[in-house]
Amino acid sequence: MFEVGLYHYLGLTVILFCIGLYGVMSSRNAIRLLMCIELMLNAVNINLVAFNNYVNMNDLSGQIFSIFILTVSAAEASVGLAILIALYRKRVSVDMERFNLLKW
Amino acid sequence: MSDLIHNCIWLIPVYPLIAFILIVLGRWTGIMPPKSGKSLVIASTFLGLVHTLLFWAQWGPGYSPVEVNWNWLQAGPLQLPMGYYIDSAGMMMLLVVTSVSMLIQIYTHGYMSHDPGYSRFYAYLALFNFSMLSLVLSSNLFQMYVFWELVGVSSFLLIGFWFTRPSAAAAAVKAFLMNRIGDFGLLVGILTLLYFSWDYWAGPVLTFSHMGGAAQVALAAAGPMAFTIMCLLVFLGPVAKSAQLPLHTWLPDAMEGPTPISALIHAATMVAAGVFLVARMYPVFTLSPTAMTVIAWVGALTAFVAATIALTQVDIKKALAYSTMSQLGYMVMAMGIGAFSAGLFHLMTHAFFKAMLFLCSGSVIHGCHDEQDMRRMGGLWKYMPITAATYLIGTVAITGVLPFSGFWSKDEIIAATASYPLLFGLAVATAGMTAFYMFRTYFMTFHGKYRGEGHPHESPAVMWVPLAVLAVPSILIGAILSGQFGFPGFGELVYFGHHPHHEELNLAVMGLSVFIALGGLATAWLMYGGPNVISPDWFRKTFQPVYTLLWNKWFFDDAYTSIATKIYLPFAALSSWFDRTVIDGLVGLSASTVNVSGSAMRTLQSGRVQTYVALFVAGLLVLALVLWKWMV
Repeated sequence: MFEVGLYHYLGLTVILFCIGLYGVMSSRNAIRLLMCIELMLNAVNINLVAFNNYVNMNDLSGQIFSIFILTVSAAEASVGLAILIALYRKRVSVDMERFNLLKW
Repeated sequence: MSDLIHNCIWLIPVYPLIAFILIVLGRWTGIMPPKSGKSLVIASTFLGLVHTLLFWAQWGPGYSPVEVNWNWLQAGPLQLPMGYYIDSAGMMMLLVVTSVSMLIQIYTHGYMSHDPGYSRFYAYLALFNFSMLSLVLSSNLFQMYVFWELVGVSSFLLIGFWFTRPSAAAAAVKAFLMNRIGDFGLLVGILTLLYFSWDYWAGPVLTFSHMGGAAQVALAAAGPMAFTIMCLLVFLGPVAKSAQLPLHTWLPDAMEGPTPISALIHAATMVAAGVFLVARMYPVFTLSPTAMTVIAWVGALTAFVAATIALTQVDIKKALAYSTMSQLGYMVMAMGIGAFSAGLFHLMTHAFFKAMLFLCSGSVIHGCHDEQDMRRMGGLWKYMPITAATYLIGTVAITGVLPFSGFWSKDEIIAATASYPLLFGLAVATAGMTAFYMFRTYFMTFHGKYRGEGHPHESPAVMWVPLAVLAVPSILIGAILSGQFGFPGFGELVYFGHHPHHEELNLAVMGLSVFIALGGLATAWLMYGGPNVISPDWFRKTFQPVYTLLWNKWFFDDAYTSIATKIYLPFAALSSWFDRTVIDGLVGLSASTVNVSGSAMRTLQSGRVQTYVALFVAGLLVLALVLWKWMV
């Protein structure tokens, strides 16, 4: 019988994380970039839950942690979106190529 | 009351310090009117004199030294004291400094009455008095060094008193530089002495009262060679301060200062500090025969060379300055042959008559409307009889004619050299020349016809009264302290070692020195006095090379100038070039390296967040690879 174990979860989260990371590095659209960040965070959440199940079933600290992360990332996403809107108002664009003022 | 006098000896230098501070504050805030400060300073010196006399009166028999040390600075085991130490030599110096400087401060009121810097001058005088009295009272070598520097500062300020004159400013700087050389040697010497005698000290270090034991320990620790070098380093201080060869050139130039200063600092008191230091350090110096020989020879050569230079001087103050140098040479020579009390005796008599001579010259300069060249004087006896009379007394005193004060002290020194034929010869030759050049100045100034312009006049009473007062010790003090007339001799009051000694008269030396003095007098009279038997011009032509040598002061100044311009300045230019190109170049190179590499590296920072992320991930991967490959 095929059993879903820790390694499957880890494999899933690695794939999810790498897709997110690739998206962060490569997307030109800032909205997509934010979404990719969410993807990476969710990969981590799955990771936490999976490890919690693997280590100790009776303890829900992994799940609690992932809920915290969800909360914080929601706040973060709203701040990110607000920044993005401000940027869009100024530049009339969400193209990451054009946001290069953060330098010397 | 007597306890107060006894316990508050430290107040003696504080009186003038208070006067100094009050004048500075008073003039700064404008409370005191422009020409003020005289009474304050004279009163402070008078208080010091009275305090000294009261202390002397109740000092008691034996005159055992009084010493008090306070802890000034504590650094680990090192304990630097500050305090006072009075023995008979210190008491002698206190009396000389307070009495002479009080008379000179009174005289100054007349001499400087028209000077805009009147108050400033009195403030400096008070500062000098404070420094000099503290130097004399110092209980240890470090404290003495501090005040040694302070008298140097006062001297610098007063030489350059008329600082708008370029020559005065240059003379002040010259005095300062020359003294720096000596003070550097002195400081190194003091530190070396402390280093070698470190094991000896428990508690306050380098106190004069324990110098004997310390010197023994230092000699044992250092060995004779290093000990001698240390002694010579210490001696370098007195060489500069007391204008001994080869650091003497500042003293004649110091005559740029106002004449009261020449009298007080550059004749009577400060320049004698060097001699006083040697006397204070006698337990150290006597342990090194080589150092003593060097000291004696430096003194003898200074006495001789200065006397020869004085033969040709035409500036009355310069002639007196070289005479001071020559007499200081006598004192130092006396120190070198171990005749410490004879040297200090001469210091004391010299302080009185040389101060008087300088004040006379000031009176002459004042009366002749700021003329210093003796070729434009002459016949002043008629116009200023009191000045002339006191100058004659001073001249006779310095010449060493019986029974004036210079005779007794100089005679003791010459008698002490009797066992060193070469030194004896130099001393006697110098005595003869002294008689000649001093009477030369006297005849040129006061006899013959007046060769200047204008109408010379006698100075006011405020100037001639101090002269008259100084004439008394110039005549009497030598005889009183000679030990021949019922009073205790100087050697019985101020002695170094364990026993006071009674000076026996050396009739042969006395006769010789009087004979030599009269010979010099006669020669001067023949050349410059009434009959003009020998023409000075004939001398000048006949001994042209010698005259040139003496006229140019043995070319010391020229030698120093050419050393400075030919060697020192090019070397300084080279150092400056090295500093600018090599040192600064290296500094600039490091700065521009950072600058260039910085501008190259900053292109990495594109401002695109995604590039940063990519680089970050790449770095992470490399790190992970490294950890995986080498750590596992």
